Amino acid sequence: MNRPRLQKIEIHGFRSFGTSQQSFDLPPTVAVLWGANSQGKTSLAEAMEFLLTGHIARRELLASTKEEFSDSLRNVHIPENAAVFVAADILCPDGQIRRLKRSLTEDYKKGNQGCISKIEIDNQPYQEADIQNRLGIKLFQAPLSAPVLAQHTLAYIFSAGPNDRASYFRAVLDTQDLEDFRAAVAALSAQILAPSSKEIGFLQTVESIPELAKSFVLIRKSKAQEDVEKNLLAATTTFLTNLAITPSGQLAAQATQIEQELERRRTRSFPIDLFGRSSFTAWDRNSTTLPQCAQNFIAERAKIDAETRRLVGLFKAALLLPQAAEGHDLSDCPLCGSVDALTSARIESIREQVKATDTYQASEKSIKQALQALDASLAALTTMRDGSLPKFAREKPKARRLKGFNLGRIRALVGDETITSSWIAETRRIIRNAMAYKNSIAATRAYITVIQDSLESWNDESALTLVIDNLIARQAQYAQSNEAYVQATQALAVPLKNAVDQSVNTKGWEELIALAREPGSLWDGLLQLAAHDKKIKSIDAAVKEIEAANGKVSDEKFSDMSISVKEWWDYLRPDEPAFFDAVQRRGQKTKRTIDIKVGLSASDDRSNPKFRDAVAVFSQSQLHCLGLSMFLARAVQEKTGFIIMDDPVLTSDDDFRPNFERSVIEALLKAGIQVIVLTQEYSHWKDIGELWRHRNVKQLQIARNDPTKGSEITNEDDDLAAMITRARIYIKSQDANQRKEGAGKIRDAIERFAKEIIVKNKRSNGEQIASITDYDGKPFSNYSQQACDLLIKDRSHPGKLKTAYANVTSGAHDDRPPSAIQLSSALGDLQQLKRDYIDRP
Amino acid sequence: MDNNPMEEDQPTQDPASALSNTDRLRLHLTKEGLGVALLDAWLSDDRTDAPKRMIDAINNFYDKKQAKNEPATATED
Repeated sequence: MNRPRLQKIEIHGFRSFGTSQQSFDLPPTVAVLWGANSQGKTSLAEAMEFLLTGHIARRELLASTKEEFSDSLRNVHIPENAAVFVAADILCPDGQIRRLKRSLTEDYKKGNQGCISKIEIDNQPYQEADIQNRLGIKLFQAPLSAPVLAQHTLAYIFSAGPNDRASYFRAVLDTQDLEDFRAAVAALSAQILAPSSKEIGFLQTVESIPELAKSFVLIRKSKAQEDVEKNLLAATTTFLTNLAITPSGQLAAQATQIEQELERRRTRSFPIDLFGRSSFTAWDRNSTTLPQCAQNFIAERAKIDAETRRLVGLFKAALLLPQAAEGHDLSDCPLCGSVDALTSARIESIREQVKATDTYQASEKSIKQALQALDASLAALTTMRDGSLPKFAREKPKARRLKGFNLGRIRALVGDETITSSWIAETRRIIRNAMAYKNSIAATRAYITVIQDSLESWNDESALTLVIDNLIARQAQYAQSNEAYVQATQALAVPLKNAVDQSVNTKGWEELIALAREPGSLWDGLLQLAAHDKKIKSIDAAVKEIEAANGKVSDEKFSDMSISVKEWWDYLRPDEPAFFDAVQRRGQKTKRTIDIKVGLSASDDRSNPKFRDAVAVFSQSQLHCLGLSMFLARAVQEKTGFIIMDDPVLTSDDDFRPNFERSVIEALLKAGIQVIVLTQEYSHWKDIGELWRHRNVKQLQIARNDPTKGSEITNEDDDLAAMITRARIYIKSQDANQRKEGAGKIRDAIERFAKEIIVKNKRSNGEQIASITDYDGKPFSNYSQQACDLLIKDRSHPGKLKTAYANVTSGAHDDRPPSAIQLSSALGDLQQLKRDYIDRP
Repeated sequence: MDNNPMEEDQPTQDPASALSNTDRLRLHLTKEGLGVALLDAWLSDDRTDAPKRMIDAINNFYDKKQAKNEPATATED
């Protein structure tokens, strides 16, 4: 797969880059940029870091100085409203050229907060992840995410503490994903909720009873429910024996014994039993048939006249007479004595009237039964209502006081006025509603009596409905207050019982009683606990296994990396008896300590080396070289498309520079990496230019002549321009020696200019073999007139050249350096002549 | 150093480096152990819901162990 390449870079307002927007092209192979100190090389490297990551690693690495990076990204000289951005045209792996631009929205501020920036790709807003997803630029793990090498990066590896160094190498090895996975697995234990059944809560409370601790260890180890029961029985037996109570045989019976003793003790301290109350079940109006019976009765009664209803008893008695039963045709009436009055026709008539009243009589029977049944229900309801009130509400005040039940004690024991006040309010409400309910039941029963007493004439169905409606309404009210009272009492009971239990030393007894009564539930809870414990243990074991496996992966990657680092070390410092050996964990179980081992040999062939820690035995130069090797190894390992290196070879390491220029750049190009080198060494810049000219090397220069315009990058591969740029740094110096050095550099540049126009003229006259080297070693006086003769565009030009040279050339006995004005004037004249005769001939 | 100036070098591919970190990790974990089950759950979707998936993986791991009537252990060396 192709790798991304930088084609063009644009910078405006970032760090040393000011109002003059810079833009320069890059070849896909090598680019080398020269700039003296403080001209903007590091700003350029950091601009690339900013473009790719949105921050600069230097601030992240030097954590203690984060505050000092406040307002550091925006150039201080640009106008407030000027944009700060870095952009690059990138040839992406898919062959498309896309423009990535990052604009600074908010600079670093004091504190740890980062800067804020926005990304655009081809002028459309994008996210950080799109740098990889759309452009194919793979960033490394933080803190060194961008493929940019800087001096502070190299120093960091060796100066960081053990933890930071381990983090760095984790970043270099790119194993953060494995660490994330391990951490995620380690965090699972806390996310798997422990079983929280009532019994497990009881178990934990009972375990706080010292004399039962051993028994409950056995209970927790039970292998079956039978074991739980056996061990619980042993526990309760021990418990009762300790209380000087002879234990009953069975577990349930022993639970009752403990409960009785608990009540006795609690009562002695506070009459908790006065909170006792029966449960309450509401009366269901559908359970009575009275309304239907009443309606039916009234309807049937209307069908029979009052006289018949009055005489029906007499008629029934008459029909029971033997004469009526035997069917005599004529008989005297036994009631009134009338002769022959009880004729068969009359008997038949009586029989028909009695038959007509049967339905009525049935309805009468029904209503009477319904009235009795309802009355019995309401009597039972009254009893239940009474029982559902807490005992203290049924006691007389004096009896309560004698038992020690008063609000003052409750307040003192509970210790929470909110809970107590709520309970008092609900108690008052339930007592009030209980009374109303009781009255309503009594009123209903009274009305039943009214109906019973006036059944012959009663017909007020609506009054009956009203009475029942009222009863139901009062009942609903009572049920509601009953529910609220239960909640308030539960809230009160917990602190109250705890306080009481503490005062009589009965904490955990209630829970022990509950467990002894439900050993099956305890067994279920223990099973849940065991399953949970197994999961937690297996997660712990998995974490250990993953940790060990992560270590092995790190070892493999360290080994891979060590081989690669060794290669780069050998490119940079071949045949040196001191050499890099390995980056490795200090031990198999070590996560936090990473050692960088080097070999020290007395022979050039590196035989019989002694291995030591690099930090302890390597020189600064060697450490620098090792840091560079590690950076390069990482770049190759990560298959990065390009790298930017800011002064990769120390100024003092002249001996190794050729190795970098040849072997390292060649190996990087072979690895498919675009190389961008920033250097302050002019000869380094020049050598790379010469060596890689056949690979279309690009030579650039950076200088900052005007603080407002900021650093400016020029496409320069001609020596004269470079010489002028180098000289410019010295000319305004207050230091005499610096100005003297600047004079020398301007003098070199004037000589170079003179040689260039002579050679140019000779070549234009057909002398193609003419070369600047023809004049090497010759004094300026030998060819200065020849050069002056060619300066024909203005009559002042020959004089300017001679004066410029004279200004920067000391006399034989003159040690005084030229003034800044003289140097500036000489350089200005030289630049003008260069423009007129070389750049725009 | 005699390549075409504008021609880019083609890097050689190291087959060992084709293995991702998690591929390498898997090779060091017990086959069919809880570690592998958790790794599968971790990798199967985005990280936000990973804890839930991993807890499900633990429960499934135990259910399978129960079904096989084997004691559930995290590692079986």
